[in-house]
Amino acid sequence: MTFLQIEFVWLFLIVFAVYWTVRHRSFQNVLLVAASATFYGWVHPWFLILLYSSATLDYTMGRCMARWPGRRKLFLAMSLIGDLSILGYFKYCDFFLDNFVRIFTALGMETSVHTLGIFLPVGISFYTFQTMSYTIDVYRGELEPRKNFLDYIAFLSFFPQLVAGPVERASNLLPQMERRREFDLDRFRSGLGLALWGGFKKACIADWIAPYVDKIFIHSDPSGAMIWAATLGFTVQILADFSGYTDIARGTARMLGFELSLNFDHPYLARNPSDFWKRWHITFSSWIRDYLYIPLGGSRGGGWATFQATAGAMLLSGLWHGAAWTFVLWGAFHALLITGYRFVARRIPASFRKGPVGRTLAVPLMFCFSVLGWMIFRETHLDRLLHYWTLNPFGGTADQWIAALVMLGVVVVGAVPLVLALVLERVVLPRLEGTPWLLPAQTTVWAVLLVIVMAFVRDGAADFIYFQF
Amino acid sequence: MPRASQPQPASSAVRLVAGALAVVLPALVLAVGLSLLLASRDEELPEPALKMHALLDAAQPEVVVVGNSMVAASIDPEKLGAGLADRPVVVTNLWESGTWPANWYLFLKNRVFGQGHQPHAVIVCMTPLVLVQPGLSTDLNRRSLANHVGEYEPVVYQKVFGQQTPNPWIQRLRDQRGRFQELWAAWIRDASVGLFHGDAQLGLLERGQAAAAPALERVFQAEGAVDMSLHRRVIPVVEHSQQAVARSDGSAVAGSFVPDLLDLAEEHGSKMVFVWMANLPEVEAGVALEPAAEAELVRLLNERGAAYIDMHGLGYPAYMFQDGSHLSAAGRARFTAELAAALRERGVMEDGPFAPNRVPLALDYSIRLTGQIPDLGPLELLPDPEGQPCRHVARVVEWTALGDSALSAARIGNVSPLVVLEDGVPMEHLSWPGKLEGPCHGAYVPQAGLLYLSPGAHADPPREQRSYHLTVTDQLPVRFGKSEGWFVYPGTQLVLDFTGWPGPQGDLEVVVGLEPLIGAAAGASVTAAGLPVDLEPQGARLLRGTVVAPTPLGPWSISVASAADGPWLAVRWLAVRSGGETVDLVGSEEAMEPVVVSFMTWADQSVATVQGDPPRFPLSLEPAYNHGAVKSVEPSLDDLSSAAIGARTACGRCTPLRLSEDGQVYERPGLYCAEAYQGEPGNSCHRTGEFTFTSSDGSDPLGNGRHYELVLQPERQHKQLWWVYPGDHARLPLPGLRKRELRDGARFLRLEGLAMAGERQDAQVHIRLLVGEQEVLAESVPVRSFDDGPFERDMGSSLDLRGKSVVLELRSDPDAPFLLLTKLELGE
Repeated sequence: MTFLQIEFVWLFLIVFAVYWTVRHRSFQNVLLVAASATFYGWVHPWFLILLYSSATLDYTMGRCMARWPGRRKLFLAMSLIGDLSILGYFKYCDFFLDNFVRIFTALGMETSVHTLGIFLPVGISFYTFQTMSYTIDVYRGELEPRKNFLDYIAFLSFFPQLVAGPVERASNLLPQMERRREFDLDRFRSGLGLALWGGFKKACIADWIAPYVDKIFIHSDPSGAMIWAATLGFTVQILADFSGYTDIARGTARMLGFELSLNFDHPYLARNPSDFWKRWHITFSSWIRDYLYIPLGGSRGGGWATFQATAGAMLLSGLWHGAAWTFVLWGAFHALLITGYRFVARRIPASFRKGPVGRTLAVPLMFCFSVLGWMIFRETHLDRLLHYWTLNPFGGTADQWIAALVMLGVVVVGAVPLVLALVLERVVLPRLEGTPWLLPAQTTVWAVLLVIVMAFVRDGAADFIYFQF
Repeated sequence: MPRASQPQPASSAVRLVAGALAVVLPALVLAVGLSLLLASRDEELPEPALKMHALLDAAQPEVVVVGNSMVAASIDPEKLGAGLADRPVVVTNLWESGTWPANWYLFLKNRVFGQGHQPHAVIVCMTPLVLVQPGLSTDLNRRSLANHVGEYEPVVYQKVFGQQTPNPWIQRLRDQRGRFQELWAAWIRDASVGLFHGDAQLGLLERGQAAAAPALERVFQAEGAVDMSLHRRVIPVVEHSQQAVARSDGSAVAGSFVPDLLDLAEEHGSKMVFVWMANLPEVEAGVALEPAAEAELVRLLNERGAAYIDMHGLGYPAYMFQDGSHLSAAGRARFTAELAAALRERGVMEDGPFAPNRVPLALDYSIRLTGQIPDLGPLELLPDPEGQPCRHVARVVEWTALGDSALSAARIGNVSPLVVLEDGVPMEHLSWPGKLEGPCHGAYVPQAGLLYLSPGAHADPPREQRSYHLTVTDQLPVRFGKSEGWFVYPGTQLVLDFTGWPGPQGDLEVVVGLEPLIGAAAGASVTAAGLPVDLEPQGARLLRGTVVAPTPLGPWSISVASAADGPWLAVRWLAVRSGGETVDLVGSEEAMEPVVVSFMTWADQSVATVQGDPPRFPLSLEPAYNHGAVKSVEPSLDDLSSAAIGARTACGRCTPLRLSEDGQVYERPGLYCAEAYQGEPGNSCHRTGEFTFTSSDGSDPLGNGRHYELVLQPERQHKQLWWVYPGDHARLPLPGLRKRELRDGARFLRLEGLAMAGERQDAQVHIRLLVGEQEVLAESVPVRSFDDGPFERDMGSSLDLRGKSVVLELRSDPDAPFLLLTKLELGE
């Protein structure tokens, strides 16, 4: 089930009504678990087996760590092996088999090994990271192992963020599951607005741009101008798509009395690669930082050690996004960007870097690097990707330029609401705060968003891009 | 620094107003939005629908022809109307490109009958496989559906989308938002392009549209799409679209739009005709239904009094087609006349239902092979002559005729029935000895007199301890690719058991064609429906027999047998005929005809040698549309343009003319002139009277100082067409594989072609056929004579080609017209 299906709207309305009617915390959590099972198992009920297996494993390992603290390392290892085995099998098995066969074929050896055609359960990367963070935090002593399995399963399977994040830490969401929740009209208003804005970004921007981008990326011979315009389109599409999902997730969770972590903070206003990762998919990048980059050494060692830690973290980060070499390349690209920036930044006077000119130049420059990264991310064939880089970005026939212009037009129109929202958020909203005009402004904007979403949403709308991860 | 002023607490009146606005404003927005989204669209129909209305209102047709682009390509409505009755009948073609039955249903329901028209007859032009498709397949038929769908379409929803008609409000919402999205897409497209392109005299959107729409069509046309705004996800009615499933069984008819089309016609008192349009034979298999499904279709039409006219197999020559399904102007004229005659014969303009159509024969049968399968004895393995480590050979000279090589030369295919057993286990049959190189494969390749064999790769038992036995398969037919081999061995019998007779059709006639592969014909016998079939020799190799019997009342059979000492037979053709219908059960009649081979194939172009100094044509340049593009007026070369050749052949981009820029020849023979007009570098196109081109680097050809001229393509070949330029002396050897197919030698030569350009009417082409360098035919004929018919010569007796080279020489007079040969054949 996806957020833009009418079935989800009905599910949420029913859950919302019952949830705030029963008001007893345990009943509410039972309801959340049931609603999450319905949401996640809507198309493939067997996905639930994997979800609950992971939950049971890590809950049990957490309990074992509490019972036998001297063997915490063993239980952590069992938890990680279990979680990563499930993830590895479902997500990476075919990838490695395929590459195994290719290597042998390239060496002139025939092999009877073939890929297994394994179906990737939606959201497995997200909830695996979430449940792993629980056992790691318990192992580190940063979190008390939980006794109440219902609370734990409600935390892990919480439907608003189950399939595409934010990747919540147990330390943030679990305590909220264990607290009594009270209905709050302001929170409800805020959540509804956020969810509607997320729906708008998904239906009216991301899904609108997607066909144009797809059309060019599947074209057998696009010109340089077309492919760069399409990459720009994808840059807007993926932000609107992913942040739209996150906003719906955070909005619906807020209406149910939960506060999920911020996942996007205007990433295309980033001034450098590290800044980008502090603004893009924040919960994931902080997970990678805390559980991978820092344990790998972080920036504690010298330049080479830091590069190794960065490269390891970013390559795995790329692979997390998908079992394909282009994702690995995307991770490598960002590792190089981060390392390169560290190297270059040291040689640029801080007065310039932090001055008005440096700051003004940094944002568009970083944006250009982000766009380049999205091309790597979007193109699934390495040979085509390399071909695109040989194309003159301003080349193409007159017809191809017209196709590129149309793509650019779509990008501009798609980006306008994002810019307007920024203005509203930073200029208009502060002026309305505390005045009686905030409420009519809010309700009117909601109505406008609702009507526009109804005009743009399509039955059978495309899945959210990050579902595939 | 002054402190920011704190907002004053709002008065209760202000709070009241704000509270009221918090309800009223969103209510207003929702009301306006929903009224727009849920508005009925009755008042404003899409342009294609309005065009159809205008066409029908102006014509008030008595006969409406419905279909897709095949209608436009195949039927001239005026000429059709003239041929339907003693008086002129008003006929209107109602078609849209790429449409399917769901679209045709909507044309009739909403455009014809829905607008009050009552045509006497409706003709649905179709191919049977498409006719039974309830779904949609392309952007074109999806767009058409969006344009013609009405507000309440339960049939379309059920059959196309596989669901019940949704709530009318939901349907309106889908409809309106789809229209809104299309308008939005068009606005963005036109505004984006209009800012930078187009005629400044026009408004922003108009000039954007004028530039963008054709450009996007060109860019994405080759990708199977029409326009970015028509991406499948922005068309409302296809939100639940299902991919069409090619069903060809009998049940497909009931689930198709055929019953609904018949209902519509019946409800409005119109007669209904379904016409299977003309196809090239190459595409026929892809558009036909299984016999049972076709029979089901015809039975339904008979029940409902509709006519079924099969016009597909009329044997039109290739030049009457633009492509596999669309007729050229010449084809259109002929098809229209023949369709008019067929319709008139069926009484289309008379009152009352049509007489029943002849139901195609749909036979239900199974095939078995009975008797003792011969054992051909053990194989003695010899070392591989090329020293391959795990490949052996065995001499099987007595079974040469059963090997792949011989069967392939007989045009049966690589379908040898020989089977090798390794320790009693059948090995894999491969088609080429090269596949047995390297490690052990557990496979064999039966060639001419020699059987290549590679033992299984398993270790136990060791290779030297294994035994190899030769036998033949009982799993018939033997298949390889599209080839099928049906065999009857000595002492065996091939039996076809029929469950019964499908219905009254006239007497039953069984035709059989056999080829004894080993041994004399004596001992071969055939029975059909209990009657013996007399077998007569046909040609040097084949046996043919026919028997006529009353249609059986119950189960019946056909058997082909060979006595224990009889021949090894290949069943080349087995067919049942009744009431003018023929059902091929095994093979086809083509196998019984003398073999004809072509000198030309795609792969053969390198073997031809040509001496000649083709003419070159200087150009006198003048500016064309845009800067950078120039044109030259060369009417004398019009016949050599792709457009002119395409009008006479099925070849679309076959001009032999190439542009040379300082001696460098452009690769692409442009057919579409838009690129060249727009000044793209390195393009050329040739239209009537004009040759337009741009320089290779975009510089102005009028000022860049380079020399431009037209030259001729040196290869002289386009697919299977061959050019003979003025002054050419070409030698075309017959490839060895082709020669082997002429097992009875060569008896006739046939050349088909077209004369193009050139002034001299009596200039000649000199034709020589050399067999083993001996001249067996030498003749000169005017090049123009090819326009009147093919060059065919019977050599009187068969020429023995074994071990001899066969070469066709063509020499053209220096000032002769260009000769485009479309067929170069040698036959038995």
